[in-house]
Amino acid sequence: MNAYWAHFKTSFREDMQFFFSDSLIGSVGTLALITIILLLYQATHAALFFGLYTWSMLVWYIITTELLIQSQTGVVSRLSKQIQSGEIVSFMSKPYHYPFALLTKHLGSAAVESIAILMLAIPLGILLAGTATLSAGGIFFGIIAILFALLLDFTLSMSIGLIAFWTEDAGPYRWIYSKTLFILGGLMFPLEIFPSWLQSIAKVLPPAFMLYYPARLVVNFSWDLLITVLIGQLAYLALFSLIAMWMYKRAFRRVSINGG
Amino acid sequence: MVAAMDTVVVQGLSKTFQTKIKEPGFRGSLKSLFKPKYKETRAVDNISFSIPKGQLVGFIGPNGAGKSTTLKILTGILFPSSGDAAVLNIVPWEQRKKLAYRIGTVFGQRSQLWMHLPCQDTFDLFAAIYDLDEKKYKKRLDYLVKTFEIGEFLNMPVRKLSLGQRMRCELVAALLHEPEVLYLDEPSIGLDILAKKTLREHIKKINQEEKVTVILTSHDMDDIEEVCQRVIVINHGHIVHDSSVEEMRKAFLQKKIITIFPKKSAKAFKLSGVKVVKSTKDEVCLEVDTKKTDIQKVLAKVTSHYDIQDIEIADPPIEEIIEEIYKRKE
Repeated sequence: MNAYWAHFKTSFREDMQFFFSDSLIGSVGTLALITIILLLYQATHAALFFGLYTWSMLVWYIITTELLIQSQTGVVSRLSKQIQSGEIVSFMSKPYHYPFALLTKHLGSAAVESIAILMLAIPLGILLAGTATLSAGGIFFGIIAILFALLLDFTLSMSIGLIAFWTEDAGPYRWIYSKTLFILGGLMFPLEIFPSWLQSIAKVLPPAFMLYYPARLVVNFSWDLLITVLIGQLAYLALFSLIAMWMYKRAFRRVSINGG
Repeated sequence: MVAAMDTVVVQGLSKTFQTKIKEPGFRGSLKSLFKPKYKETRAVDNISFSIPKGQLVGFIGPNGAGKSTTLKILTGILFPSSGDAAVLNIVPWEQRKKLAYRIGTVFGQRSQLWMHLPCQDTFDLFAAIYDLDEKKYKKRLDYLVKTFEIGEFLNMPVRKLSLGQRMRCELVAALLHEPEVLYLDEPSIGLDILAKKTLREHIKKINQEEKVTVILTSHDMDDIEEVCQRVIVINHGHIVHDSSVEEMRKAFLQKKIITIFPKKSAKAFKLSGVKVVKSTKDEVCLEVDTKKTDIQKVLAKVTSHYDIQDIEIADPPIEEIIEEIYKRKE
């Protein structure tokens, strides 16, 4: 356990080296995007269209989903690059479980990205919508759901990244994954924008448990919703963890390090 | 499983890779999509050897000979296609994690240091990974920092270090947990002469002081001659030569290649025991048979004969040595 905690801390420290020059500047772009989307919704009175969302809820919903998507720090490309370059050798020769080392490295980077976004997004949210929508329960359990969402993204991303063992490049699969997440996860709009038949499908798929539900929990906390979110997240987490581990075991046997 | 007194035992080890082959062009891409063809590459082909505790063995061969593949099998990263191996009586690919606590690795072309952090941070991380006791770790690090003379750049980001400095840090990282076996895969690649010399001294020192068994792969014959006690030559996955370095030197390293870059052209160079391999206005290449002619005598003659801009002295390339090995076997 000590090894993984140390991995998290080292990854956090490394990403902190570029906090101002990279993470914070990148977050300014994210902030601009959030502002534009919100102004668009305000101009079109879209919040009323959704019915279930007040203006304040919509503001914090968009901030939460953007926080989630920006904190998913490219596991697929990192893993794919390690496999292509053969760099994976250095990690595999250590006495730890490589997927957990990769996970803790990912979480360390995600923590830095989250801090950068939150530093700018919280003042923006307060400025645009105040804090009336937020509740202690929503924030507390929302953070837990966000953590599970990050784990869920990791297991899915790892499975996709491991495809590189067979195809050399997992880029196209990553593209499909990120676009699916974007559309079916409810990144820039709550899923209620969809027609009811599509809504009912989207709401049971994994992307919803990675973006939509954690954000909804933050802005509209209820015990019923919490149970739905946690059950869905844990079930998908178990399923995708098994798939990722199965793929890792198979991939490990076919390692054929590039360049000797 | 092979069980033995020796630290490393390899018996009939083979590794075959499948590589997808694709014809050029768009048609080729389509064809490979629907009807993929694979080529089998036998990277390691039925090799056997054993290494006693504390021996420093050079593993040499041209690119693609199977050196790195063998090392990766012995680390537990790669699964062999057939054969047996045991390192410290552990089958590497069956108990990779258990073995990892007792071996150290440096892959010259792949860094294990965190590039944007000082190497001290990687050392701290490795101490946690290898479950090192804090007091013991501090003592060990102090010793290695002094031995490898890395104190002055311990707190500098790795990306700012020279290649030679980085390689010394890589070695420290690999030795932190006091491994019994050390695999060094082309550690001198890209280093300048001075950095290579320093690295060789450090490797020798650690081998002598700690009795670590070392397997060193390299393209550079000087690495092997100056550091190793034994040399194993591998080519196309086969072991073609296995002897002490002294025997190898006597048998195959009697030639030296001198390359001269003259400032202006000169008359043809003649001296017994010296063969002119190449002679142009800008470059003259001489092959010296050191059994017949003393290298110092040749150098003295060369410096008086040419107005020299630059000069290089090297061993014959590994491919030539292998060719010579095959010729003698025939």
